[in-house]
Amino acid sequence: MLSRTADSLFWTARYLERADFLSRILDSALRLSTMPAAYGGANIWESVIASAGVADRFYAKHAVASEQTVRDFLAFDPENPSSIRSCLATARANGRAIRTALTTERCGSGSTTPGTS
Amino acid sequence: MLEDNARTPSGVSYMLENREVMLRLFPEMFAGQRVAPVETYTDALLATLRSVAPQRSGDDPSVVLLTPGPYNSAFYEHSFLADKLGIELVEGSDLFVRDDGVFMRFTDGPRRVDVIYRRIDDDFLDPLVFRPDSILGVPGLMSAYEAGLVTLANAPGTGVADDKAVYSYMPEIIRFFTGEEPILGNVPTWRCREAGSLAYVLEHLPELVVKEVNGSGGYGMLVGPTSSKAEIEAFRARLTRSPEGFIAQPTLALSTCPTFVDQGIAPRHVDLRPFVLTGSDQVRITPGGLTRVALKEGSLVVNSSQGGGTKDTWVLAD
Repeated sequence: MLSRTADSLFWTARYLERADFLSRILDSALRLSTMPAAYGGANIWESVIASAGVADRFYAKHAVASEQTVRDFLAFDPENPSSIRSCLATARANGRAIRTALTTERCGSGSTTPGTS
Repeated sequence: MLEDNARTPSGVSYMLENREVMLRLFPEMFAGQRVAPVETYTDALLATLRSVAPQRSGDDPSVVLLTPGPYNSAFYEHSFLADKLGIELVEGSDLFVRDDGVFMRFTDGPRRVDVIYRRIDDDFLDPLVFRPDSILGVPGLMSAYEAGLVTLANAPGTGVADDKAVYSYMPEIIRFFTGEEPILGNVPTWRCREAGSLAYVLEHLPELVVKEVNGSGGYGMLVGPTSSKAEIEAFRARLTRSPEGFIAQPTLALSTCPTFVDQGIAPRHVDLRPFVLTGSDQVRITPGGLTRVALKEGSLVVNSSQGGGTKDTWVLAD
């Protein structure tokens, strides 16, 4: 296999994994935020930003970590290079360069994700 | 014959995909006809590429397709062909040159490359010889090519054969080398570098098509009847400055073909691009081709980059 193909396959998978990981964090945060406030005390959305490792970028753009700002930043923000949207776009760009090494189904599933062309 | 293309046979994936789609949508139309298959093209292309491999590469030469990468407008075609041919799709950075040949970087070490089907323009092939700012090419590729260590297809310089001024001599070239009359006629062509022709062309600009001799893709040309006065005058200035860079032809009425458009079925202008492969062993002609259609009413511009469409094209066996 071409070294570049191997490299792109690795990063395609790595970015998909990261998108998956972010969506799981958001999912758990949503569940935790429905618990009584006294349970943890701290702002769960600040913890989310900390565990995603994007605090600098986030606070440069948003003053307060709330459900809305964190969700938008981690899931949909194209200016955040590690948002779910950006991860899928990067995975797709990697996949496109090696489409002969991917199945048609894999190529197709990437191309139908909104905003990742 | 409108022109020759001897550099890059682009559009061949459309020919193959058009047929696939037609077979799926209208299988009954094919059942009653004897339509010659076009999918033999990929086997023919591989056989042709292998036939031109350097001698020392033996019975099983390694063939690759060199692409400028996913940002090129024809990348789909490059990956489609590499997939169908079962060869590696490489970018310039995947290849490197040593004293003993050209190699590609594999996970388990270098692999020798014998034939490069390149879909990169001459200018970008080798930064040591052509454009030094090219990051798409392979440094040293031209010296390996000159030493006979690797075959480039098409070879650098084949563009000379599809130069539009050379085209005008094609009937004479055919007569000289074969002693036969050309089977397909040429379009009458004025070479602007000849004083008499230039005078005629300048006088009749509004009714002629003027093309750059090394142009392609429908760019850098003037279609007199559909151009404004200002466009014609601007072109006249370019033409007077460097007449040797241009040829002129009468505006042709291209054939029309019934075409499904918004208003229903209507005639639209078409041209046909056949695909002919010339190897060291034989010439292989694909029984079919790419019919390009101008979707705008009355338009003669069939280029897909300018809104043209394509049609499946049948050659019927007797």
